[in-house]
Amino acid sequence: MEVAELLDRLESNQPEIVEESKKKFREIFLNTKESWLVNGLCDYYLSTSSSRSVEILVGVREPHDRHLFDRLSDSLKGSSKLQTLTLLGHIVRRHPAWLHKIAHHSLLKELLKLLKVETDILPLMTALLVLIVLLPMIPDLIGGYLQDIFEVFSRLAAWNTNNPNKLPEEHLLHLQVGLYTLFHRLYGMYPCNFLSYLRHEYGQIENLGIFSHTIKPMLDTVKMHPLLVTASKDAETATSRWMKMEHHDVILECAKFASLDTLERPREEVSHQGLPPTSRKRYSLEHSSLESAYQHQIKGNPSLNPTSSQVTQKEDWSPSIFCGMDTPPPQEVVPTSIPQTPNSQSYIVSSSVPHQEGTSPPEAAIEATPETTPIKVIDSLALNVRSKMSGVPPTSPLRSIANEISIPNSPVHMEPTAPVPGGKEWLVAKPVPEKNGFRFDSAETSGTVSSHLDSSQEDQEVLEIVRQGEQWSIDTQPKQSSVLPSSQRQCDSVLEEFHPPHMDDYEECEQESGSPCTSGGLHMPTSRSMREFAHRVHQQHRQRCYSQCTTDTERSYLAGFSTGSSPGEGSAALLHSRVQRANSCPDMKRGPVLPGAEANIGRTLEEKEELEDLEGALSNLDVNEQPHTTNGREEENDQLSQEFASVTFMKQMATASTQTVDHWSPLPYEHLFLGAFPPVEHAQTHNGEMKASTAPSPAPLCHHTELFPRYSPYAMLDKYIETVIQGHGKDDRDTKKANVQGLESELKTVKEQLTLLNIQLQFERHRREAHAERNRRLLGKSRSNRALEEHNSALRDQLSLLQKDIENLYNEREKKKKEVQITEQQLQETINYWQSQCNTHQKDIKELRRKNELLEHELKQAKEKATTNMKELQQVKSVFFEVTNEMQHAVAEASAGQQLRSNLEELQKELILMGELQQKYRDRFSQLPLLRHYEEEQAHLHHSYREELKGVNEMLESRNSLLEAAKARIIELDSVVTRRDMIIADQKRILKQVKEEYQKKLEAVESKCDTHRAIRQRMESHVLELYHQLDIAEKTSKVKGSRSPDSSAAHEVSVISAGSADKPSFSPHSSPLSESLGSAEGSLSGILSGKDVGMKNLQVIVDQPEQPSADQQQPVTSQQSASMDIAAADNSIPEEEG
Amino acid sequence: MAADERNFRASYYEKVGCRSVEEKKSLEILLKDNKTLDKVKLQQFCLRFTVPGIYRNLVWKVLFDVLPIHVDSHKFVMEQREQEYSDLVHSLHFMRMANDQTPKPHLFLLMWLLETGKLKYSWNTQINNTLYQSLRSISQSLLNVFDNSVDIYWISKGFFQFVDKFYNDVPKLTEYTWNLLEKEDQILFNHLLDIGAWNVIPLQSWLCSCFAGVISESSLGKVWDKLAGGSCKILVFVAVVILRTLRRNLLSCKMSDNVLNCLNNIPEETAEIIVNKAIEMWQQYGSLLTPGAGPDNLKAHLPVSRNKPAQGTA
Repeated sequence: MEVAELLDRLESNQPEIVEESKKKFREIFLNTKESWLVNGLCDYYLSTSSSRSVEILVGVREPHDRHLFDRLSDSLKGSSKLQTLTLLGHIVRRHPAWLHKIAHHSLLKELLKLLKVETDILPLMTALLVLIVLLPMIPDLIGGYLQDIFEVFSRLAAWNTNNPNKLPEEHLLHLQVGLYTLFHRLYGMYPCNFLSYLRHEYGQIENLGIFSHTIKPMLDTVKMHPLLVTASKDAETATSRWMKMEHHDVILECAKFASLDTLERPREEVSHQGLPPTSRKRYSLEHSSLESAYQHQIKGNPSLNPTSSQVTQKEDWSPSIFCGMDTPPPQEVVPTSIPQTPNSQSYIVSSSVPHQEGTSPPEAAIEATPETTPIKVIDSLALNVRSKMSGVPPTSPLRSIANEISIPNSPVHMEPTAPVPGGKEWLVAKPVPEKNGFRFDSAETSGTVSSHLDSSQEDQEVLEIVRQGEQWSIDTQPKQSSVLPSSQRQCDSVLEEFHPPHMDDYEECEQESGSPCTSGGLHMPTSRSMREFAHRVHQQHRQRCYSQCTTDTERSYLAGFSTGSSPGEGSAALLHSRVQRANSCPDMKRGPVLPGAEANIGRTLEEKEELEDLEGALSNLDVNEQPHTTNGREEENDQLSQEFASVTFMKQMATASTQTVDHWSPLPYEHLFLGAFPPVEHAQTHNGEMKASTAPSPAPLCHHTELFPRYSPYAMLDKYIETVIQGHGKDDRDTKKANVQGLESELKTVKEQLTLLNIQLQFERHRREAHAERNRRLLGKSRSNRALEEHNSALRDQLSLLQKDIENLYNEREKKKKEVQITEQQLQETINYWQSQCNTHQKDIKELRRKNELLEHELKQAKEKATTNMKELQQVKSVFFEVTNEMQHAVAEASAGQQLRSNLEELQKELILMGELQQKYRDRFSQLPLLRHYEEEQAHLHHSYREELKGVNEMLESRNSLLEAAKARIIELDSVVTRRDMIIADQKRILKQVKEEYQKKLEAVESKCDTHRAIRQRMESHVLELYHQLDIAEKTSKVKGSRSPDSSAAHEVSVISAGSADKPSFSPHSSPLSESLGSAEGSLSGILSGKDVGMKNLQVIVDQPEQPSADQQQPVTSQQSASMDIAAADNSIPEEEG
Repeated sequence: MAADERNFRASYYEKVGCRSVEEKKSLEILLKDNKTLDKVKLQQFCLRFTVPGIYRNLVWKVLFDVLPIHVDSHKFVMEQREQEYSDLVHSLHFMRMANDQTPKPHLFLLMWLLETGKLKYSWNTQINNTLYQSLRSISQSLLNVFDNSVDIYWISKGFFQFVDKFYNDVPKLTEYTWNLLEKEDQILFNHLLDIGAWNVIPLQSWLCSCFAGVISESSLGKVWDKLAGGSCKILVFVAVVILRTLRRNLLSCKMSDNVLNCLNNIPEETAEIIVNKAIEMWQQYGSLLTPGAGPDNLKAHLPVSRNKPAQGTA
């Protein structure tokens, strides 16, 4: 499911999606080891022929390659052989890393088996080409299959005889091509094996016919292989031989030996080998010069060149034939590529484009393609050679014209500009006729004649033209013309010289190979030699004139189209060419139409339109290009004049040349068929139907109409492709064609042819790629070479410098030598002087020595004396020493004696003293009895003393005890004191408390006292008030009533009682008596209640008169004092009264 | 504090609500402990707690200097006080200023005036002074609390002197009362202001009588404990709380006369609530519980000149 989706995406129009799906596939391949995916993809390819699936299949890794091979070998047995083979062809051409495994796989066997058995042309051709491609890729592994391959070869060689009339001619052509290529491969790779096989195979008489018709012509085209001499059958299949060769090396080697077939031959070889300028080279040069001369013409009729080549080249498949195929729609590619060319090198444009302008923009595309670039270097080398050669102009006339046209002063410049493309072109084109010749000869004798005739005629024409041109050139430039003939001669001679070796090789080859079959092919060698001879003549002619031949053809065509201006008339031609060029675009446009119109080839209108469109695009491009090219050319010329010798320039040219070659190569493709089918063409021509063959065979068209070739192989290819694509339409067309023209190939053959062509193109493309690869490598090598050369030159410079240094050093050395001589002389003199001095000194020395001897003798004597003296001295010394020793001893003894003497004296003194002491003691002893009395006394004293002491001690003890007691007492007392203190404090506190308490009590009492006082004061004031009232009452009573005191008194009492009951109302009427009565009553009541109180009150009343004086000092309140005053006032009144 | 030291659970008791449990004990300790009583501690106790009824007589007497701090001399001092009392009574009787029918408050007031030497000739008019009326109502209230008329006289004398002390500051106290009311209850304050109850509310007499006659005696004792402790500020709070408690009634009053009616009839339960609230509020407003604040802020502010004459007279 997923895979199907991926496959869908793979076929998407968007490249990103395609890339993505490819990546996916790759991942899947990495992840799986099974074969299903490979099988699936194979099936997918087989059913759809998708190129993208091929890309994926080619990119598979290790385990899958085996599956792939398995699958392919399986399907080879099946029905879809062709697709399988195509796929195989794709794979092989991609040359994946695991391709070598095919040798060990049954697939190769299958392939060979198929080749041996297959009769269908398509699979056969495919397989054959696959094999051819495969051969150089696995040269070391192929050894085992060689025999099979040879068998295949012989089968193919004998195709016609084996399968007569089975194939159409077109197909046969392909087969021939394949066979030819195979032949070259085998011969180039395994000459010994191959030749021995041929010997063995065609030594038999029954095969002679095949040999003579098929093999021999092919053998004619190859040169002697050196391995035939140096190697053996086994050695050439050994792996050691192929170790260092890559497949493109092998291909090139193969091509190298196809020396006689210039198509196969690598171009660079000539220059590489440093051979003397080959005829081809020169031709190319000539032609180039011619071309440069007729650039405009060529430009104008770009198809001319092709046509000419078409005429000549029939089997020419240059490696780049299929480039056109590779770069599918040329018109599309052009726009991208063309801009590049001017950018890179204007020169390219000038040199290459002029040719192509009209015809094929794809050229430009090819220019840009990287494959072509590597060729540069190679060709630059070739160019170098050529340019050097051109310094000696080989065929002056044309070149002179060229010079004239371009830049007269720099003839050499011009040569490189044009020649390169031209030369290349012609290199490609030229040899073909030869081969054609052979072909025709071998295949059908009648064809050969005609072709020869054609070519010879053409050549002759060309020669004429050349002559004319020479004349013209001589006329115009006499200087050069003088040189030219000689050069021409040289060329001829060189050519002559050059060719014989070829011949020899060839003959040798022939002899070697042909020796076994001499009996069968007696006539063959002769015919061959004849042919050779003719061929040589041809060559000689052609070598010089070939280019002209082409030009001639151009001219002829020109003449044909354009009012037949003679080619010899250079100026006229120029002019004409200009005119032509102007018309080129329209021509182009018309190109496709014309053939259609003329031939009524069954093309639908659509096709035409398409073509027209295409051409229109082309023409536009051309128009754009034209100014470019012309400008480029002018500039280029200037550049040329300035930078003639520069290598870079050469390179540029080289690039240009290679590119031209490459893009020219597609053109010859058509002629390939022509070459391959001369009989057919001729038959057709004979039949008078020029366009008998359908589109694929344009050769007749080329021959007969200039227009057809003009619209170039690309157009043709387009047609092919279209026909294929529009199968049905084509059918119709074909039928139409068949109706219109009697001879019509069938659709099938056409298709087959197309596929064949496709295969062929693929094959050629592969070969071209191989070449490109090699070219790249060689470019690298040449670069390194150049670097080495530069290095060499640098080293040379260094060498010269060093030599100079050496010289200098030598001079210096000489100088030094002289100096040294002088110094030596001086030294000699000094030596002499020193020698004389030395002699004198020696004499002195001798004398001195003699004296010395004498002195020494004396010295000896003196020494002897000294020794004797010394002995004596020693003896004396010893004596002296002994004496001193003795003396010392004596002295010591003397001192000891003195000491002893002093000791003796002291002892004597002591002795005396001791004696005295003894005397005293003796006295004492005499007194001893007296002393006894004292002892008793003393004892008593002792006793008494002791007693005393005891007493004192006792006293002390008693005192101590007393003291202790006192102390205890003191402590006791102290405690008592403290206790007492505490008590005292306590007492004090209590006292204080008590004091406070009593204070309080006292206060209470005081307050009571105060109260009392207040009461008393109040009472006194009351009393005073009463007195006052009393006084008033007395006064009033005095005044009023002495008459009735009782009544008044009674009245008074009542009043007072009323007053006391009420508020104190002082009735002025109350008498003091009644008052006193009242008070008496009060006092009475007081006495009744309590005696004390009454007494006190009385006392108070009694004391009252005294009190005021006493109370006067006491602090009294203002009220009290006031009341007192009043009281006093009251008192004073009664006192006064009293 | 002795109370706190004695039992660490005291504070928890308070929190739970059984206040008097520990108070009583601590007070007993205070009273029983020494021969000399610590007056300062008693003062603190009064400010802090409600004095139990049994000890109220003794405590007040001690605090009003009727009894000395020395317990031993109580008897003697009391004898002296009785003598003084009887002397005063006798002298009044003798001067015929009073007789047996004279009502006790009247008698006490006369006695006090006599004792302090303020009694004038025109003592009948003197006694009708508003201040003396207020003082008389104090005595009247005390008569309901205690039995012994001697004690009543002395205690009422102590209150007289106390009132006499802050009498000059009464305007300040009224002002403070209004401020506090404004702070506590703006609406009521404004309302009272609007209806002109300013002058109608007998705030001065309230303060001078120490709410005697306004609040029932059972509740009044708590307030007077604080007074005995030395704080006259409690009166302000009581006044405010009265107004706030009767808020609804007061707000409904449109006339100042109605206000007076409302204020004059305070039921016993309401009185109890008022007193409790007032004490709480007083304590909230940084009463004497904060250490070092002294017995009373206002007291500290009282001019010294006022104290000295009072002492001198005492």
